Amino acid sequence: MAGALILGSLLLRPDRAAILGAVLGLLEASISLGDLGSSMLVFAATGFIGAWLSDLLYSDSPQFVPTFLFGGIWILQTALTLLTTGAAAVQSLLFYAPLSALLTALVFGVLARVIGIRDLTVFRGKRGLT
Amino acid sequence: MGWVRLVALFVMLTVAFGLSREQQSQVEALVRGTVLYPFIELHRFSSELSQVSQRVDDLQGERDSLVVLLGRYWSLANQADLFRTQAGLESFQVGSVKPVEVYPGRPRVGDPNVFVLKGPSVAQSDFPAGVFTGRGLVGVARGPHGRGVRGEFWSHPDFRVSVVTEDGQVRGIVRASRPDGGQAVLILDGAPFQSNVRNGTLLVTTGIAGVYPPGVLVGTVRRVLDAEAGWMKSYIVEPSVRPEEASIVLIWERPKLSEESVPTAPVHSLDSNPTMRP
Repeated sequence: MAGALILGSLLLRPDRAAILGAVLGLLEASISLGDLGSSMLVFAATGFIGAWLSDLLYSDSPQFVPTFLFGGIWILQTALTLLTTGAAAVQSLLFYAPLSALLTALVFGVLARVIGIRDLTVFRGKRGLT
Repeated sequence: MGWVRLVALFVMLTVAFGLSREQQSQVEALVRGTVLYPFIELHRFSSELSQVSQRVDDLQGERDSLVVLLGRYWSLANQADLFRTQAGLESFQVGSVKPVEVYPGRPRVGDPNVFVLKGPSVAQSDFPAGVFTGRGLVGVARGPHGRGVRGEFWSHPDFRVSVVTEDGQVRGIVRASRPDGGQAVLILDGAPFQSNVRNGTLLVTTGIAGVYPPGVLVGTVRRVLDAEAGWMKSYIVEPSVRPEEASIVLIWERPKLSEESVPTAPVHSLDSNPTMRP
């Protein structure tokens, strides 16, 4: 869910990314049986901020997308853990969340290669901003 | 028309925050039963496939233990029933159990301490209801969740159960704890200061409130945690069942009280007692 949201925030405008985040937050809460409102809010906020931030950070580097994906997932999962469980927050911040984010970014990179997407910048600039 | 989307988002979030816990359960159950159903069932299938051989060994061990227990208590139960009949008392009311499947909430992110139970007519149970396996206590079912039931593992911060040592000498309340945010353990609180519960002592449920049947294994005492000066002791308890080990569990249905045992005096009759008035 987190990876899909961060990639979506790169492709969408902030308002649409926030709607996507709210929907993915609903799915996330249904899987984890956590609090519905908190999950939707965190995901919607992440989608909005991710889309807004990707406008500010301009880069043609092919490493930009995986790095953005890594950072976004790390922050999102840490925020979710802090809001829902509270306990084990430090363990989540320093151990689980970054490892999970790294794994997702690596899997994304491998899948992109397998599918044949050599230029990862295709995940940017499709929001009709021009 | 970005502002339209933001207004729609605001409405969605307001509705989501305004839903009660039961309404949220219904929404989550609807999503799990439709959009997420293939993924949840696929995950469960692959999880069961990897545990088949271990489960066979566990089942054989549980069966053997149950045969021993049954042999030990069968004649006792029959004698007790005979004595009650001779004394003109009602037969002892025994509850029943229903086997159900456990679907844990996804761990690590979100609440790792809750689960959903699915089984025939499980949503019609009385709540709260104890959830356990042949090896010990798993948690408690709190309320309906679509056609299933939502509950909490013993590792949930709000979980409490009244326990007694196997010899019946020491009673207390058990709760969950996560020292340093690590793996959950149980803490036995309220044991008298003069008590000396040895390491390896088994703790079982008292069944005093009817939520759990009496005699369900909760855990094994490991060591003393804290001894508040002259008042009470706390012990660390190793749980008998870990949440990740539970796949098929039993949900407890407490015995129905007969009409004779239910008090029939109306409440207002107390107000008519002159001594009760100020």
